[in-house]
Amino acid sequence: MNALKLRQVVAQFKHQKLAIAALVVLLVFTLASIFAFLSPYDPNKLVVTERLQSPSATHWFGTDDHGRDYLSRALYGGRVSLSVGFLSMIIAVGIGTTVGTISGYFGGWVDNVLMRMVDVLMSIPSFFLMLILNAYLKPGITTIIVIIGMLSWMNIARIVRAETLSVKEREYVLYARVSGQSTFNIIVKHIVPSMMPTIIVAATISIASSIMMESSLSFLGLGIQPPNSSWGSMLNSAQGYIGDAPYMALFPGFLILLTVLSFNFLGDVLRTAFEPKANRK
Amino acid sequence: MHKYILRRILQAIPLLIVISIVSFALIKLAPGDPVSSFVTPDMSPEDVERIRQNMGLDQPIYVQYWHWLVNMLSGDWGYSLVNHRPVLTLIMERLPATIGLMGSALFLSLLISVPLSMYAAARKNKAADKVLSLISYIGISIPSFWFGIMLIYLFAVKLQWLPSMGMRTIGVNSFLDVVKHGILPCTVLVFMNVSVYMRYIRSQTISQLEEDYVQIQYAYGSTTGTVLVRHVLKNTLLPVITIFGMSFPELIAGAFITESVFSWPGMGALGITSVFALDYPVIMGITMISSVMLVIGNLLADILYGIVDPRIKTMK
Amino acid sequence: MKKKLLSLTALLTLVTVIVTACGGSAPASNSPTATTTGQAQAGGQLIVAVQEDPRVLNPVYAGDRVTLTINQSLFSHLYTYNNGEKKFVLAESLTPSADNLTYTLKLRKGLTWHDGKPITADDVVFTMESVLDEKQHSSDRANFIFNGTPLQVKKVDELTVEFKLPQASAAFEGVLAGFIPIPKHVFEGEADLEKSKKNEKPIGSGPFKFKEYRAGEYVTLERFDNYFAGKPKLDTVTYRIAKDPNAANMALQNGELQMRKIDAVDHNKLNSTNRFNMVTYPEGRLNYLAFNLNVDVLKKKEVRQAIAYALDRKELITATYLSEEFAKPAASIFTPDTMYHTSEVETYEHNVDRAKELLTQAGVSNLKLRLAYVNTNKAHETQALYVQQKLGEIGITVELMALDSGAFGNMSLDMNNTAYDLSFGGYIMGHEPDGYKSLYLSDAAYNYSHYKNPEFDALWNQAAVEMDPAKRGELYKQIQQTVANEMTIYPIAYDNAIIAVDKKFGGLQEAGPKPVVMFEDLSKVFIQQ
Repeated sequence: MNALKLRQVVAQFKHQKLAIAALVVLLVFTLASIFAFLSPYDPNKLVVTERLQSPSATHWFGTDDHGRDYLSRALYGGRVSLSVGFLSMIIAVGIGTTVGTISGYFGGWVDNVLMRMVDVLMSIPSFFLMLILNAYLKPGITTIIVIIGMLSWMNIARIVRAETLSVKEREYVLYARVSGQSTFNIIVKHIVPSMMPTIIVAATISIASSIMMESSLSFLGLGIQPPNSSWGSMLNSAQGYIGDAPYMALFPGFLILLTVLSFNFLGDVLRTAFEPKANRK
Repeated sequence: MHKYILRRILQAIPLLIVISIVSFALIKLAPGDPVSSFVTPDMSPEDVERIRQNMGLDQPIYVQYWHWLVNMLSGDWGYSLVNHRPVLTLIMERLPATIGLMGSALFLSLLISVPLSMYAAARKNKAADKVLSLISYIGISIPSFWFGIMLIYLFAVKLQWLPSMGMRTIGVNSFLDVVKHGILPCTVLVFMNVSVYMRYIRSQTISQLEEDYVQIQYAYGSTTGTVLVRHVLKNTLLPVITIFGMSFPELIAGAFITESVFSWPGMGALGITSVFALDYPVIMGITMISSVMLVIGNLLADILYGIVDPRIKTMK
Repeated sequence: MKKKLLSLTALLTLVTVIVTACGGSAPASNSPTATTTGQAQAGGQLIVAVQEDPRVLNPVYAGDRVTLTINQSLFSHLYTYNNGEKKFVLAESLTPSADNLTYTLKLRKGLTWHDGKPITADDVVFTMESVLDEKQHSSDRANFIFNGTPLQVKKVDELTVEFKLPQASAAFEGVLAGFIPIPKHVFEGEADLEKSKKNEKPIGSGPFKFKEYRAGEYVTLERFDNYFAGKPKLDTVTYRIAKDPNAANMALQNGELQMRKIDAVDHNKLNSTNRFNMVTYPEGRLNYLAFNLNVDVLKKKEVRQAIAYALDRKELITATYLSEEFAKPAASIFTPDTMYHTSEVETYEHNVDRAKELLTQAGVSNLKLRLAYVNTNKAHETQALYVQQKLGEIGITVELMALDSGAFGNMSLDMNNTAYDLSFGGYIMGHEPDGYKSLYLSDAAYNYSHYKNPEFDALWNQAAVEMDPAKRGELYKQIQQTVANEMTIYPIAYDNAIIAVDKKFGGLQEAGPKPVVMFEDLSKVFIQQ
């Protein structure tokens, strides 16, 4: 990414107050989950006598159905949710970019094989794939990350492939090829960097959708292993208490909503900033 | 045109076969044994083996696949491992509920999102546009099961306006009753759909509004409304067609989470049950139907592109 | 009691359970209002919540909770056990011969199937032969095989059937209580009873007959006027499929469901709406923690006992079931409704010092254990969290393994399983103690603790053939004490079933709360005026 692009991004942010708000939200959530250990409560300590207490001065978010401090759980849960989002994004972007560039750059049968593979994977309902893959792996946070990552790279691969097709015809790439640089070098030094904006946008959106997928998996009972929790699993176990302890569903619900919304929003602002012409004010 | 369609269909066949092999292998190789749910403590190993044989699970996986493929092509989709009813019957029982729900959700979503997006595009960056775009951000960021349960709590338990589950009131058999049951699940689906669609259609409309032909219309003194309806509307059809093509398999496969939350008797609920029971004949049935629908959806979309915009066909 | 429920999974799962019903009703303790006060009103409908679609509505194959529940209204047993007492239904008597090898069963006169055809000895013989036919692969077959030889069944006259056993069996009467005849005239000649199209419109003998099934929605049954015990009071009973438990509880409050088996944790919230009668009764179910003796460290008895002392059963029950009203502390592996149940066993009252002492004695420190359970089981999850915290107090680190039921089932059935160290489970084995054998014999498939002891096996086998009740009782007492002393499984609680029923329904006591299937006979339920 060159200086010009960076300046466009900064300019775009200045226009969009909400984009700054989104950044602040994400920064706060990230810091809060990193410094979760400062909380005076053990997030996993059961206190049978303190079940379902409403938010108060001692328990800011109240307590859950096992008497655990809900704020501490939300902080640690944020750690899990954000890491799931971030790490599955890394996997998805990694596979997606690799497959996409190889497919686009080499073309021919390589392209054909890879893209048909993408077609196949996109044709099987993704929920089936998730549930079935889940049976193969030991339950836990790593499994969730791997499953979500493995199921969300296909779109990125398609976008990257399309972009590669146009980038590889540009003069500097042609020049690099004529001057005898290795294919690997051309891809890593010339093609991927010029696609950085596209990749960054896709990555941002991918974090958002990974966090959403994690919460859907929790709904089906496939997610983080207790005693740990994610916002998704907290939300799911809160469903049973909607009448008598609505705060239990509201806190994690809004945390997910705000986080996902911020990532989506950020993705769009970046897209607008990177785009050469359209949609700019 | 006919040749084109034929070629596309022929191209789809290997794709469908690969899909079936991949899904079959994934399900069959998964740890977990569909027989285990039929085993009781006092059964001898021989009894268990007999059940396994009866289900055809004792043969090597490629033989099982071959049997499945041959039978499938001759119209025999096999029997569910769970309730021993024919897979095709099971699917046919569920299809109307899913098509009804997903179809009306798709229709309503388009009906709502097209005018809303055009309105938002025309008032780009004004207050109305910002509010609409915020709502659509919320729509794509809200966990659907949470939204669903909240709606049930509010409208079915607190206000008692609407039923909370299923497709019919027991003992009542009227179309109106089905519609009433569909309102809440439909709301969830429409809200999520509209939020996604709006983003595509709005940006398509904005780029159309910047085109020269629109500027010329303005120069002739047309109002924004006339321009939108007479000229831009036609051109926003492209993203609508894409969406339509993409949604085709969902029309059949259903919405897993929404159907579960509302106990909607559709394909999504059937899908979840069968995956948990490793009921492979049913899973394969649903996967194949949904893949075929995807192929058809893409094909339809491509044909429609050609009709709407003749320039595109030459590219194929 | 052919039927046993090995609850690997909770009720609230999408996954099916291996269930079998033992023929026994239980005394119901319930809220004071549950007694019938109002006047019976004729007609009306009842909507019962079930978790998933029924499987094949044919008693020869029914094994899961939903199918058994629906079959309970659709079909009648020959006889059932009510609190250990025999209650005749289709049959009017069952007489053993002096040598206990031949049993003569007499059917009531004038019984008819739902299609009006008479119920005769032919039906009983046909059903028993189908169950025994290997080609029909009924899961109940093993119940009628004794030491490798199947029993023989013979029609004596229109209403009399004779069962000939290859050897005397104390368990036979209990097993036959779970047997349900199917109509011969309907199924005769069907190659595969399980896949038969006739199952789509079942012809039964119970208080309600089949009306309509809509996949994913409901099964509706309607009154059978010729029911032998009197015309049912309700017009229809609908079993409605409600997948999501939270949504189902809301539908209950909304009146869209009128009867549902609920979790203890949901009791207070639903009860406070004042809309329901809560019928609470012991389900004859034991909830336990099993030690896996395949794992070296758990081969040491002291370690197992230390863990037992570290846990506080009462607190564990409060954490999981809120109060002892919903689950009684358990010490014996036999549930209280089982014959020869005894409470004279070691209970391991909470004692942290003793626990630590035992661990030191065993020379074990820094122990790390893996605790497995089925991820959809809410109660087990709570228990797991609690066990983790409690064992932490004596320096044992517990790693929780929430598994999906398929994976858990596979691991637990592996005789050499070392994938986890501790696990939760539950079972309903019925009132005949011999049935428990399949969970405790050294080489039994369901011997989850993998405890192997030939002397212990010998006790079981002796008790199975001992016809003198006093001696039999003594043997079973020894068995219960051995398990407690050896601490191969830690019994947690006999948990109750809680059924929430809309207040407008009466006759619940008469309907007879029953394990697994909720009520014995819904024909007695009525709408109060």
